[in-house]
This record gives sequence, structure tokens and C-alpha cells, in this order.
Amino acid sequence: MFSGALVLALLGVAFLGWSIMQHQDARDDLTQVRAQLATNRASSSKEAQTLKQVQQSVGTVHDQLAALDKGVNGLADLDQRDLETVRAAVQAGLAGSLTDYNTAVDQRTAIDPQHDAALEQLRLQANAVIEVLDAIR
Amino acid sequence: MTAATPVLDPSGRPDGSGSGDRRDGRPGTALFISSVILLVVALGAAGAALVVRHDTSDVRARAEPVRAKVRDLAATEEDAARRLRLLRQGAGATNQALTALFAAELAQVDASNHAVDVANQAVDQYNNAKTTDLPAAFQGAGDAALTDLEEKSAAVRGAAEAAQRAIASLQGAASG
Repeated sequence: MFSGALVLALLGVAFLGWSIMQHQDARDDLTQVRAQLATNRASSSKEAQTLKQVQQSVGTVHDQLAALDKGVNGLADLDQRDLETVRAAVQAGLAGSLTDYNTAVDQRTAIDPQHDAALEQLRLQANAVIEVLDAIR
Repeated sequence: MTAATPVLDPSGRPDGSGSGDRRDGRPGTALFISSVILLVVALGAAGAALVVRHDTSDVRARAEPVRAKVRDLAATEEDAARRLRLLRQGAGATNQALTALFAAELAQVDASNHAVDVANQAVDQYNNAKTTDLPAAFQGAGDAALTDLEEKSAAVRGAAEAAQRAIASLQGAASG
């Protein structure tokens, strides 16, 4: 009977020791996870803040970006018209028609101020956008 | 005459302890008591272990939601980093595309002015009567300049499309 009781006591104590070890492991794990949560919260808030700032920066140039999109199209159209008038002038010259040549040259001259204004406006808008976007990179 | 003093036989002296037959039961009782104590210890240890295990389950249950928050935060952080990376890439690509567009535009303007200069020179030759044949004055003069202008205009169109794509991509990244 004594031997059996001794074995049971030893088993009981071993079971208690093992349970205490597991408890300690669980507590360590909880502490570690809490520390990780605190670290993640700090870094996550930093990252999220940066993202918010960048989104705001892009938001501030949102209208300019939309205007740039249209301006780019407008300038490309003016360039195309410029090409067409120059081509018309050269073709008129090759055809020996000075009148048509002069008409084409006049048309090109008429486009010039429009082209210059469009280019200047696009340049200003693009510079403003580039400045903001440079700060993001 | 004196009476004889009785002498006690030492072998007949009674045992001082008075427990002559109880001595045989001692080890058995001790073992029994020890066994009982050991059983109590075993039961106590098992009970305490069960309490500890119950508490361990509580600690693990408390750790699980914290772990889930860590996972959520990690996923959120990863998403934020990815979006930030996309925005920065978009900003860089837009800047490059706009810079390329202006370079192409300048080249187009130069090519256009050059083509007009060449045409004007041909007309000047004709006007100054260096040649009486206007088509002859234009022969070969405008071809190269016009081809160059066409190429430069095509380059502007390409750069404009690239800039528009970059702008759309940046706007998408900002709103997404």
C-alpha cells in the first residue's frame, strides 16, 4: 500500500510540476503576444499615418491631375494641327501654289498663340504636380 | 531475631515502559500513516494541478484574441505598405512621364520650327528669283524636315498617352 501511495504521490507532484510549467509557458506566450501587439500598433500607426499623408498629398493635386489629363490631350491635338499645317505648307510649295502655302503658314501662325498658351498652362500645372509628387517619393 | 528481607528476582522485575506487546505494531502504523499522507499529497497535488491547468486555459483564451489582433494589424500594415509602395511608384512614374512629355514637346516644337524655316528658305529663294520654279525650290528641302516633324509629333502622342496612363494609375492608387 505504501508503495502504491508513494507512486501516486510522485505522479501527482510530477503532474503538478508539468501543469505549472505549461502555465508558465502560457503566461510567457501571453506577455510576448501583448508586446508584439504594442510594437505592431506603433509601427502600424506610423505606416497608416504615412499612407494618409501621401493620399492627402495626391488628393491636393487631384484636380490638377485631372486638368493635366485634359491639357495633355489638348496639346497633342494642337501639335497634330501644327503638323498638318506645316505639311500643307510644304505640299503647297511642292505643288507650286504660293497662295496655298501662305494660307497654310497663316493657319500655323494662328495656332501658335493657342499652342504656346496651352503649353505654358500645362507646364505650370505639371510643375505644381511634379513638386508635390517629388515630396512623396 | 530479624525477619529475612525478601529479595526480588531481577528477572521478575516489571518492564518500565509497560508496552511490551505494543512494540510489534509500530512499523505497520507508521507505514499506514505515511501511506495516508502520501495519498493526501497525491490528491492535493492532482487537485492543485487541475486548478493550475484551468488557469492555464484562461491564460491561453486571453492570448487568442490578442494574437488575432496582431494578425489583423500585420495584415493592415502589409496592405498600407503595399498601397504606399504603389502610390510612390505611381508618383515616380507620373513625374517621369510628364518630364518625358515635355522633352518630346520641346523636340516637336523645334522640329516644327525647323520645317517652317526650311519652307521659308525655299520661298525666299523663289521670291529672290534665285529659282523661278517654286516646286523645284521645295524639292528635297522639306522632306527630311517634314519626316522629322512627323516622328516628333508621333513621339509627343506616345508620351502623352504614357502620361495619361501614369496619371490614371496614380489616381487609381490614391483612391483604391
